Amino acid sequence: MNTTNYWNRRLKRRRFVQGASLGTAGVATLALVGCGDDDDDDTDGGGTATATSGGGGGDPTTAATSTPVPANEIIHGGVGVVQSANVYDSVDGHRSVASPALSVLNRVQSKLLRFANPNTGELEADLAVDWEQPSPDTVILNIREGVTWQEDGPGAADPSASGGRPLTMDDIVWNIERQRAALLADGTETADMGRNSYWSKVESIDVAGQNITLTLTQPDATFVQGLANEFNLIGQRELIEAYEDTNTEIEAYKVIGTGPFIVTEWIPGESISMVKNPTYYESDKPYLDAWRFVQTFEDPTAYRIAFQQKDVDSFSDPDPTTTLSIVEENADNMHVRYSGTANTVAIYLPRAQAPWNNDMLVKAIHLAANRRELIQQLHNGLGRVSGPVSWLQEAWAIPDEELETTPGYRIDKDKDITEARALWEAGGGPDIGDVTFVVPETWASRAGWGATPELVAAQFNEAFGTSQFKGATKGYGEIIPAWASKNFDPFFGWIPNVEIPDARADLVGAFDSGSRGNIWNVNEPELVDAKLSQAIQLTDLDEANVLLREVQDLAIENGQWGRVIMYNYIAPTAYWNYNKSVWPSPEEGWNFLATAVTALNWWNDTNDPSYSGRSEPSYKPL
Amino acid sequence: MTVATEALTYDLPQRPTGIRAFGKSCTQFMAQKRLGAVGLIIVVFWVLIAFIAALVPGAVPKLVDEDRVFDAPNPDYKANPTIPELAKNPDIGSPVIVARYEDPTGEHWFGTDNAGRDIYSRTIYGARLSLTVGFGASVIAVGLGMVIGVTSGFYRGWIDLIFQRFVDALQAFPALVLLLLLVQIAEPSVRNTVLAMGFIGIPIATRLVRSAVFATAATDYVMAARAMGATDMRVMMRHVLPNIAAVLLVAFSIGIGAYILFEATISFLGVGPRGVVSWGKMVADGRANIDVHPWLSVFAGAALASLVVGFNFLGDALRDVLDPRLRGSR
Amino acid sequence: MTDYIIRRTLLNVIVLWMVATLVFFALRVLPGNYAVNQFAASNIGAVTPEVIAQAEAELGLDKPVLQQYREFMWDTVRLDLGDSFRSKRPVWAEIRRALPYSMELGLLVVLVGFSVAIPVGIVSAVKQDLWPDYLLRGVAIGALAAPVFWTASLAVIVVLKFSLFRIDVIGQPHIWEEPQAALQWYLIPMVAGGLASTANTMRLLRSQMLEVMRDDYVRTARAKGLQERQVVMRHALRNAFLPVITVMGLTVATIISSQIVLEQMFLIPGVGRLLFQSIFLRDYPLTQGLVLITTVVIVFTNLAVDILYGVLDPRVRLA
Repeated sequence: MNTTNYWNRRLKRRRFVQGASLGTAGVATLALVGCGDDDDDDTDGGGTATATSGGGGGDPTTAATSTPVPANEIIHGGVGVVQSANVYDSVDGHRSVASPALSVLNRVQSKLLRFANPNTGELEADLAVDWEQPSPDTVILNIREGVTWQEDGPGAADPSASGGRPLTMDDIVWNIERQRAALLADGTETADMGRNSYWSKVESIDVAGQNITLTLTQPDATFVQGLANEFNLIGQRELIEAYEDTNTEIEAYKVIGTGPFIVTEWIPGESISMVKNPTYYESDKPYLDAWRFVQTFEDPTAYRIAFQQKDVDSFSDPDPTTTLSIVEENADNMHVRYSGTANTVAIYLPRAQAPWNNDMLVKAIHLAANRRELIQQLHNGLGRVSGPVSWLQEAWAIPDEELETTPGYRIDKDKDITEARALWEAGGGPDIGDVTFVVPETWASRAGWGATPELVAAQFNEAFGTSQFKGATKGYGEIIPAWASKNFDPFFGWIPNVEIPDARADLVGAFDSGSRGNIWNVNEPELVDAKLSQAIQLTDLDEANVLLREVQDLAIENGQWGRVIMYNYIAPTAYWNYNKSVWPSPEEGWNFLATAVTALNWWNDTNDPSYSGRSEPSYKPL
Repeated sequence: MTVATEALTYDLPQRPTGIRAFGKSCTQFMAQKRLGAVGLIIVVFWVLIAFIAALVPGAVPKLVDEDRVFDAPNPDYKANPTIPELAKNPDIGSPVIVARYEDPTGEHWFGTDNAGRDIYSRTIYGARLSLTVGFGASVIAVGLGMVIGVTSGFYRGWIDLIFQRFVDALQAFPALVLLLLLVQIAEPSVRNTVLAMGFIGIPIATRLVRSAVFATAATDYVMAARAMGATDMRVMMRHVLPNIAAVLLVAFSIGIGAYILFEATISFLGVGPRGVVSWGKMVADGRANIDVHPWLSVFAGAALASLVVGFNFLGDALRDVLDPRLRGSR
Repeated sequence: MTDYIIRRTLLNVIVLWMVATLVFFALRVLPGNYAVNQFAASNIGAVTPEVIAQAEAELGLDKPVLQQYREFMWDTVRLDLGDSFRSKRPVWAEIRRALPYSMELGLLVVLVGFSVAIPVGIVSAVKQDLWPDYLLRGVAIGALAAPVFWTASLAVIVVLKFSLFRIDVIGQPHIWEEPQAALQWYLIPMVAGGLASTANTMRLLRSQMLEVMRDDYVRTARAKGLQERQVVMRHALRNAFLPVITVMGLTVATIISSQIVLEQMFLIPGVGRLLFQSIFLRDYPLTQGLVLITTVVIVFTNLAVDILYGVLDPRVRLA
């Protein structure tokens, strides 16, 4: 079951997929809520959050993965600087349901597998050095020998931790079983085990020597890719259980891992320091001596000051032209990298309630939404329309040339609008009164994006020749509970839609009738469920793709059941040339969360002319 | 008794009546207070602009002006641009192009913004919000301040004590913080913003009014009127209010500029009124990249500054003229 | 005098209670709460109603509001401001860290403000309605009229374009630690903030001067044949300064919390920035604590100023 050819064939733009012995998998069950672009997230977290990817790059001709820098030219040492988030929800990786904490923990704790290339899903060894899926419901992992927990630092020094102890098979089993059962040490059930639905797919765990065999409750070809998901971290039982009651009180001494860095300081909203783990199992890595997370730049002025003075290593303004013009002014010393933003832009319609239980109206909205216009107005043209599967998951998405004539995505927008208007009027749209689209505050308060509520409303007013449509803004504090209760206003903004390159799991999360995130009253749910559950079991990816395409076509035919995917925009990030890392290509950054990749591969080229004038940032040492 | 009242009436400051008298005092004011005159001209200018924006159809910007936003089909259009291609030409993926970030031309006098909207018509239109916020908040502050101040100053005693503690509490509460709390309670519409700002302005207005009422109530004619058995309401309406009118006008005029700036500040902080053209928001949005897109904020900033300057000049001059303690000064 | 101080202190306690109550209920009326907001950056779709309920219970937000109010009041009386929802550290610790930054910036802003306002106020009173008055007042009011975030942004861009000096938004030095670095960091905010605050002080000083200059003793001084300069500096200014001192006291007090915009732009981790963040996150204990502490500073500065006033000006009798 070598799938490499498949990915190579499907990914027409990507030039470098190599190696993966077992390519695909996916994380299942995406609930609906959450998401939100957060200005707070650190800038190297990858596409999902701030749309910016790790540091590094450097000279465009040398930085691409295809021509990696020879190991002997890599300069070790130094400090990388990113911004901290304002809020961290837990020090316990299992119980954190927000990305900021996880992107800190990702540098400290290991996963079973890791993406060598987050954009394509190409896997590489982490704690598991070998992996195999002999049948769709069995996964065998061979765990690395000689791994020890970090020996030094506040976490290792904590009386409840066992610093320096070897990693055992029991450690791995405990991590899986705890998340599967969602139980704390005292036996109480807890709701915040964010990966509970993923690990629930494991029916039994068998250990033999260094091999661990996971038997799945049902065949799932996306499971292995899910192991490399940035959120599936391995923590130490002793320390985690000691602080189960106080896991939301963020302290450096509550964290230990087997990963490349040791947290020495963790003060939410202020500062985080982490230093190189001298006993890390991959020789030669990481390259950096330390990471420093500085205060969140809520204001673009402060961000710009810090970047231009080389106090932080990357910069991304919500307005792409600002980022680009800063790079243009410093063309000799800076370069820019484009990454797709995994947080997909979409419209949500509450299809469970009137008037949106009327299919004609839902479809009219899907047809009339002018995606290309919004990309132009809000993102400076930097973005591409997405079907039910985002273009980021290129292997599974409807090809662009077909999208051009797909209803709702047509180049000939007039045709879409004519159809939309007919449906709107036939469905009694003009009589339903005001329709208010809610845009998240974090979106609308970005410079230049403030007009979004009006722009969205104007599109529909214009398309339907009416003035019913209005725009409003609300905080996630209101939006998230409303989604959870399935009773919400029409929404425009980011949604969590893309987790890993294999799109099957994401579609199951959205439309399978058993999924927590499915609130869409899917037409013919049995048919859709059957196709999806069949697709997710298939190891023949061509066959799976046919099925997935059928589901996408069905979705489009039904106005995407009110979950109207619009587009994924592309954010440019500016880097000083001294930043080096591994990248998909000279222009591209990572479209998916890539903390694990950048943390390991980031280095500062102190010989680069752009390095002069950079003062090495301070951090808390061991 | 009667004699005393007449004598007191005689003592009241002369208030010119009639249009001609009004015109005369205006001319006098303009001649004496040149900065005040400049301020008045600026304010009148913007008020006229705001009305024109409401009356003349062409001056009202559509939030999305479909004639202008999508200027032309894109000759370079390519259906499946790669990221490197997009990096070279961001417009390549769109079949039509938005006329965004255009420099000032004959067609767009002040250029266009990121969504391709005409900055000139937005600047014109923005006068409405600033004036609404300024006047509206000031009316509410002075109105409520008048009610509280007059009652408090007239009755004194425990009513005064209670009202003043309330005012103390409001004043001790950092104004911007209170405003941030208030504007988020309800949806950020223009009305709610005006209400919240008016509320913030109560303490200052109340204090001005209250001390003026104290001064007035202590005068012989008010005492005489009360002695004659006039009802409290009558005394307040007939004797107290007319005598504090000047203070009310001062209290009204000095706050307006500050409210306009407050709106800009909360827009900067992301909680300003939504769905309207706001100079404050335009300035806030364009400030961080003023070297890249100067037109975004320069015109709105100049308009905002000129209006605030106008109100301040006018307010200062009015205070010079009307403040009883300063009356008689040149 | 002692009676006065006791009475005022008691009244201040009432004011503090009203402010505490106001902020307590205003916060709870705001839509959303911390239990949900902490997950706003979440993108893995695990935020279910159960997760939210669990987080609310942990923060005590599931209790009835009146019970929360009683507990808050009882804790506050015992000077326990609780722990911040976000950092889980005592609110007192957060205040201890933020206050020095705000005081530094506040004092610098006041320094700049007054050193501009006082000469301008005097000159424009002495030359009332002559061109120096117009010019100086025009400039002062012009400085007030431009939003600080606009002028400060412009200044930043000039500094960056010409690499004039380093603005250390990361190191966050205190003045007593690294005076030069700190001053460079504070320079733009203090000038922008100071100029913006000039107009109000200048106006008050001007109108006080105008009033005083018509008082009998000034006329007497003039009649005695004293030079105008002496009349202004000796007699008028000294008396006009009294109300200005009041304003100074108030400005210093309010400035601690009013620098939200400048602290935000220059990453100054002071009270204003903390307040702004805590309001947005709905970090109730932190917001309540910060508002209370600034209110305490404001009302007791007021009291101190009034007492000072009474001491300096024999005409004012405190009663």
